[in-house]
Amino acid sequence: MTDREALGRLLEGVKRGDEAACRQLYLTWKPGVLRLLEGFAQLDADEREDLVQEIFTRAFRAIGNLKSPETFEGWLYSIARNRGLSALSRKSSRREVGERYAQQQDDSAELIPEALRTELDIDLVRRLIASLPEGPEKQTVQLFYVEGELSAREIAERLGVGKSAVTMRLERFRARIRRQLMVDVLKRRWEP
Amino acid sequence: MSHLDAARWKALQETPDEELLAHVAEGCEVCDEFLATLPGFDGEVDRALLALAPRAPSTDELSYARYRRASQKALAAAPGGASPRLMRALAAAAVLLIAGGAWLLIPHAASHPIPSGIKGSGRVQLELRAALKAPEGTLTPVTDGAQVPAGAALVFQVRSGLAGPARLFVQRGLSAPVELAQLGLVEGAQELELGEDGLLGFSLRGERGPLQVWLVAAEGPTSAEEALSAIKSGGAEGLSVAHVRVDVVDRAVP
Repeated sequence: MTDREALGRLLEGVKRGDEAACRQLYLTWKPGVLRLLEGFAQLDADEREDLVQEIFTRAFRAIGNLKSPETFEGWLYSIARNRGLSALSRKSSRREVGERYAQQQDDSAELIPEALRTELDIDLVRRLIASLPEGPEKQTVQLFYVEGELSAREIAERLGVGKSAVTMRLERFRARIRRQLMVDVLKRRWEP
Repeated sequence: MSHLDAARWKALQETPDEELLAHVAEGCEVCDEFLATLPGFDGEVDRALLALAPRAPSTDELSYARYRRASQKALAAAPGGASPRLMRALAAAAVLLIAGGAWLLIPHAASHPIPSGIKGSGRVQLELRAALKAPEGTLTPVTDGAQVPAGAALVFQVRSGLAGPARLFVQRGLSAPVELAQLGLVEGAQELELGEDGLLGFSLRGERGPLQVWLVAAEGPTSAEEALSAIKSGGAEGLSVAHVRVDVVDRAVP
């Protein structure tokens, strides 16, 4: 059975309300969701744990709308990021951004349009990191995404900078990746 | 220079525009803002980035139990809610109990005698024991009414004189008990588990102040109202009640 088939069966189990499937899905993807939330340095551990509960509650509620297993992970992470930003908006001056994300219908429909479904090459991400000029942004990205151990808050403490500075560096890098994703998607579409 | 917007984005998917693409790729604040609003993009970006340091599946069963509890509340509050099948699965899994602590609380012997064996006349012998499970996994026996830290979890073991259904409730302070789960007890001591190997407890995260966990066991099917009535009266015909009391505090408890 391929990974896709296994995930498809798991998602079908969750849709049927199968307890073992719900548990497996939660335990398998909780680490990724939590890791994503650790990128929001303004959120403490309790707040992140609370958000995990909220994210999975929303995801399980809307999972019946998910049509393709390939989109599950990105869909789940979209919900997680939107909830994280929404939580930030309650805590910080980024209210406008958080509210904009919170307004997205993150739990009600298939999020990723057919045209945008693509496999973002992980080697491409590594090359983008390697091509960053040496400096605080590269150091932060290495610590958070490549080494993958410290939270953004812990990175701020280690580097002796403000929490918002780390969040901004990670956001800046994500914007680079997002642009690259767009370029990739469009170039593939333009190929004869 | 033109910036990316909905119309140009739509056109770009059909017609190449290398100039606009180069502009966006260079990093333009306006275009970045637009890309951030495109559904699905951020999720795909996160998927790729998080794959750089993949993580093993979690073994945090307490977190899963807590999720079950939260989702039950959310589903109960949501109009339309989930399918009945999912609701049943959630109810069965809401919060269950695990073994490990010393016997801590035995219901009042006078009101919960060992069954006489005469059908319909006796109450089910019922005992509930609890221990505190710290975040690092250590178990500490809890005495009745003890102070316990909010970051920990309570775990329990049940001993029942008879097999039968039971209902589990939590009571916060002076508020009315709230049902957490419906269980099936077997005769004797038992560990109550979720799924194939899930050992669960009652997370104290977010709890503060006096808290009681009530277990109402019955000789046959019983309603939540009957169980609540038995809690108020300390038991009823065919029903037995056991409970654990703790005081949840913000600080660490020595």
